[in-house]
Amino acid sequence: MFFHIELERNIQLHPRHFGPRLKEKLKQKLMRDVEGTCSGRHGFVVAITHFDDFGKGLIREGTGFVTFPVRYRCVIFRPFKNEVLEAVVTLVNKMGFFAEAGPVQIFVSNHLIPDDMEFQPGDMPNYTTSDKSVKIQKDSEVRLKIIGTRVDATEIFCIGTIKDDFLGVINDPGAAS
Amino acid sequence: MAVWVVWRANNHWALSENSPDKPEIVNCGPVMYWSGRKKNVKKRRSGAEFLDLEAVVDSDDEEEEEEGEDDFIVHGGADLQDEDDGGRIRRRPLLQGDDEQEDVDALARKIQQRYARTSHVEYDEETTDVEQQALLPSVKDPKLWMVKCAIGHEREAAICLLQKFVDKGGELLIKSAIALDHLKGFIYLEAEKEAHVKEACKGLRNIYSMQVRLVPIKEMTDVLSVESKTVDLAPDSWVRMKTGIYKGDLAKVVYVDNVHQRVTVKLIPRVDLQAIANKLEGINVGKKKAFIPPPRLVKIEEARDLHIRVEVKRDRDTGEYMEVINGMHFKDGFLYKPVSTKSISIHSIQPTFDELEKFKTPGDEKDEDMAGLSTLFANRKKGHFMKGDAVIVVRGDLKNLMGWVEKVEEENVHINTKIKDLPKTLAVNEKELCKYFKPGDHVKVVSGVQEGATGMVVKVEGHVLIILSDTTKEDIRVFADNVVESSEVTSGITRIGDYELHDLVLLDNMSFGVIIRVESEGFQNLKDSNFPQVLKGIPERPEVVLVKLREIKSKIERRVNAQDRNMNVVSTKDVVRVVEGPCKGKQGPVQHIHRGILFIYDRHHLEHAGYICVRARSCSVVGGSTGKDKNGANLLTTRSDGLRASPNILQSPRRIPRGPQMEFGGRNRGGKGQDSLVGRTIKIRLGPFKGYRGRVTEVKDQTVRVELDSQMKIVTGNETPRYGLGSETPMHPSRTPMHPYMTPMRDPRVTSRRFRICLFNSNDGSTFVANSYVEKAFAA
Amino acid sequence: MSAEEEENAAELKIGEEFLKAKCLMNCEVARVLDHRFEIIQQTSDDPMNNISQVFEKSMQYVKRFSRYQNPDAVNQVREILSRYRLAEFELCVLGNLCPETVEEAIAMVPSIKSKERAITDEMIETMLQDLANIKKFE
Repeated sequence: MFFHIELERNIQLHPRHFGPRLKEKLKQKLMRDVEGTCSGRHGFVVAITHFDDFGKGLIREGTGFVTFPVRYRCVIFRPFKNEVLEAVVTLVNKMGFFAEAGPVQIFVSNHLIPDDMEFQPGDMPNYTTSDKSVKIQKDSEVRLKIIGTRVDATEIFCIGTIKDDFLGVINDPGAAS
Repeated sequence: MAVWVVWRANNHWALSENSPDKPEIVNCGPVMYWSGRKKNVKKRRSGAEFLDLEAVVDSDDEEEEEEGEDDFIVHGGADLQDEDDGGRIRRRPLLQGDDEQEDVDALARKIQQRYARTSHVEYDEETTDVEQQALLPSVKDPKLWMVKCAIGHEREAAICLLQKFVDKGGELLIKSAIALDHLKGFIYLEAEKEAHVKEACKGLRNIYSMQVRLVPIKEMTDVLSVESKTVDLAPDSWVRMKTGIYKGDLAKVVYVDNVHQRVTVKLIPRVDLQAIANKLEGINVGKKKAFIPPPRLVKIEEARDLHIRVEVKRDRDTGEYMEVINGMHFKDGFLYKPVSTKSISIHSIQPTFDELEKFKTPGDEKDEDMAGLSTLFANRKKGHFMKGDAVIVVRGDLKNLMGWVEKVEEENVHINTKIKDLPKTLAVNEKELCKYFKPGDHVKVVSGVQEGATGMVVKVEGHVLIILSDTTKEDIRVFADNVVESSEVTSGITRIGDYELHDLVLLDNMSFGVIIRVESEGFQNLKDSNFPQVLKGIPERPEVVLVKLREIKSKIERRVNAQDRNMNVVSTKDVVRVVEGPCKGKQGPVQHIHRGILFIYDRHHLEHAGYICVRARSCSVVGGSTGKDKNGANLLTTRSDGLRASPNILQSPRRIPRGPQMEFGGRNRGGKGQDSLVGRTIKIRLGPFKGYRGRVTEVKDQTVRVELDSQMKIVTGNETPRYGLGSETPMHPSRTPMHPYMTPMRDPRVTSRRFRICLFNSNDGSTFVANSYVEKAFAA
Repeated sequence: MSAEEEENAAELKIGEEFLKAKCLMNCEVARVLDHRFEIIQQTSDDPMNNISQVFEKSMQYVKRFSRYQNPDAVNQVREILSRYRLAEFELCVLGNLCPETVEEAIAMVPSIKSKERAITDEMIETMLQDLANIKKFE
């Protein structure tokens, strides 16, 4: 789920940047530091939207660097356990399939794919029901439920399931074309 | 006086008569005590009593201890109490205290420390060596005599003595009789005098009292020390065969005959029916056969087809009908083989899933689960449950109750449950508990074949978890008991020979690649069957090869740089984006560089463990010189590499491969574009401004304008584009960057004085020190 | 760790911070990111090199999964959903997934039927109907 939240961060700035464009410099540095990062608590920082408050700088002894507390609002993406969302299938193999929902990667193991869907190897590996009515392949859009998340330094990885009511393929590019 | 008969046996007798006048059997696992007590006899502790004690506690890992032990200990305590009155203080330290009951544990610990020689560190402060010493038999204690008896009748002899003791009342002056299972043909008697022993043995036909030998005091304890752990051989437990053609094979215990020390095990037969058929028909095909038939379930129909006579018999022990071929018993294709307990190993058997799978007969899913359970419990280590573990009750009345471990005591685990009507914590025997995980939990495997791997639980099948490994993104099956919840991310097997997963390696045919996977196939010879998969260094056309370990020539560890399409220096850890070719759009940190080819790790790339192999020319460094790079240190490496790879290297002591670079020399010399030195904070090394720090504002040909931080003025100095070997040691800003050990080697050709620049990375405030050669020192 | 602390979107256990925070539907995110991307395009000659992978992936995703393109429609959706005293999170899940039946809506957002809130099936029904109408007339 995308959120719009307010965060605060201390930005260190070299004294050479002090001047009329100080705020501009702070903004630039904040964007560079924060956007695209991922933390376990707040998830992926997609984009900073507003800069709310630049606090008073604190000179760091010895270096001359100044630390500014900056409050800003940003769009973040944070997956939750048991959240239902839509995702695009990126890779299908016999272990299951990978899907992407924005910056986050979700793996749906074949144990979490309905039992009536079977893996079909080939050029375009896919999972198909026995009556061939539903097919999951690369670029399919699926609705899935996240059942677990793993957070490490640079990413959040999720596992999901489509073995539940109202989950599964919502749009099959193969069928449309 | 008491007579003790001690047996070491695997079976449990359940006779218990507590009347003090009658013999009492105390069941303590494999060691059995018979104690005949009489009232009003001289109260005195015999040496054997504490020997017995030691034997008891040594086997404290026993599974089914019954009340008996407590009884026994209490009695001992009571004796002691009496002894107190008698004024004998010798053995006081052992069971001193008001509460005799609670001393049992303390005693257990003491004795375990002494005899089990485990590496326990929890020393009881009260237990000193001296006190321990006091427990050992002394000259004042009854002696131990070894008496010959009929082989195979050791127990019988001991029981006869007991019987005689009971019949004759106080006439028999021996204190105890001991039969040890591992000692054939001898029993021990405890008595003050040899004459007492002879007297007791007189008339017993199994005992040859002609040969009575005194056991030296020092060896008395050895007689009753229990050296190895004894595991209950219960039906359904897993064992491995030690000998014969089934050596190493997994077997399941079906029936245990403790008296004869034999067990019947279920095996996957290694039977060559054709050979049997030939033999039966009298055809002799080559006497000696070198090969052992592979394990395979036997089909009775096949045997019949080969005209082998198949009898159906009812098994005496199990009462089931079996097919008998050539003296071998089969059922459902499995071989049922009676073996001696000595020919199987029962400790720490960890069946792999492959093996278990083969034992699974269609249609007994439920059985399998139970078998799995017993396997589980057999391999459980101590201290298995930890506070906070989610658990589920798997046996007994509370089956399927879920809770969280609150406290662990010896055998009992206190669990918290969510159900309101239940008391806050419940004490459950650990044997009734199993760890519980939900799909989605992130876990680490702590024991078994997959030890060390981490992943997320995708499915729970009874007590087996299917985990999606973090590194390989593949399934692994483990027992719930072998994993703990953990947020750590590691891989399972990552080493193979001298190489590790994700190493860049040189192959035989001069090609190179990154190890992207280390597979373990099969379970028998793990060592030989590890095949690393290597993603070959052919850009734009991913090729994965399975190689043998010997085909890998070496690891490529040189640190080199490459140039991206904009002639920017790319070094390892830089984040680059692929701008052309089939992998266009991918981006990630560079992991390896070799011959202008980059191996990039893109976490969104799902194939080849996320590795992409591209030509450096097809990429561009993300964010150029400022970079989107989140990792400040990465940036530093880039820069410093730029320094090191300067084309004007002055015979630096370490030869660093030359590489194109743009940041310093290249740009400067060509005089094109802005110098990346501009904006850097430097420290002046020589001249009147020695030691000053400043920021480079301008670089023109040979001169540098530096804005001094402290003096608010700008100075101009000369600079040449030559940079020497830099140290890439990132420095803490507060430390002085002038470190003598960083002084580079003097080059005889250079007459210039040296100038050291301290570079600040203005992005993250980190610094590193580089040496710069200038022809003239700065002049203000 | 006990089960109480574990996050669970189905029970709306997403942490105090996120519970209070404003959620964005995919269509709203699309607008925000579009705006941002325009600015980048104007200021930088190589826009692709100046955006993070996270930004790029997110933008592709929200564009693909935006139910409503029209800014007015987006506002209307928010307005309708907010009538039902839904939590921000629930509101956005419904707005993103656009369930068609009451059962589906409950399966997607199980917390909607929690005891404290008296949301009946009929109410959900009307809500879904309203959403469908917006889509129809967009």
